[in-house]
Amino acid sequence: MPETLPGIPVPVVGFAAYSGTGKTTLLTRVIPVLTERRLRVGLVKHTHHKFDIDYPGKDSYRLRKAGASQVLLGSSQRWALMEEHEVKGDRPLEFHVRHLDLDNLDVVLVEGFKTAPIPQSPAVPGGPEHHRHRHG
Amino acid sequence: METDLPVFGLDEPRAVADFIVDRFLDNIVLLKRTKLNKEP
Repeated sequence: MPETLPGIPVPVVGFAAYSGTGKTTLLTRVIPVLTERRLRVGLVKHTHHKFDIDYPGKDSYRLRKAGASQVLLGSSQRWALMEEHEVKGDRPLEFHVRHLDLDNLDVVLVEGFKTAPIPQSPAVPGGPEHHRHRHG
Repeated sequence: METDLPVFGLDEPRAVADFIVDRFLDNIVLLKRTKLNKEP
């Protein structure tokens, strides 16, 4: 098992477990421990296909619905890029990881891309029996 | 996917962080920081 994705200069580590068993909770506890150690943590999370970070009534929502295929919201504190695509199925993890600013990260944690070719996972909140069942 | 990685519980975030650092980060972070330090 490679320790990172091909061409990606930082380690990419997946957290795998059944939905609802606490992956996100565990990550919210692990990330502060890593940042305490001055490590710069990136995160990629898989989510359902129709998710939307915007909502009706916002100018950015209206501009996207008007036909802009990419909308970037920028402020002094953060930015977010929304891109529309009609690809069937999920894009590979590498596609998403390459959108991160990898020069400013020490590690990328991944939640939910359970078939991605990365080490999966140091955390299976269901415990060893659950882990054996999932991977057995 | 088969893995030889250990299994951790929800109450073990420090153990997970230790594992990530020991297994994946030690050399890489040191290398990156050394490289950064060498830049003018």
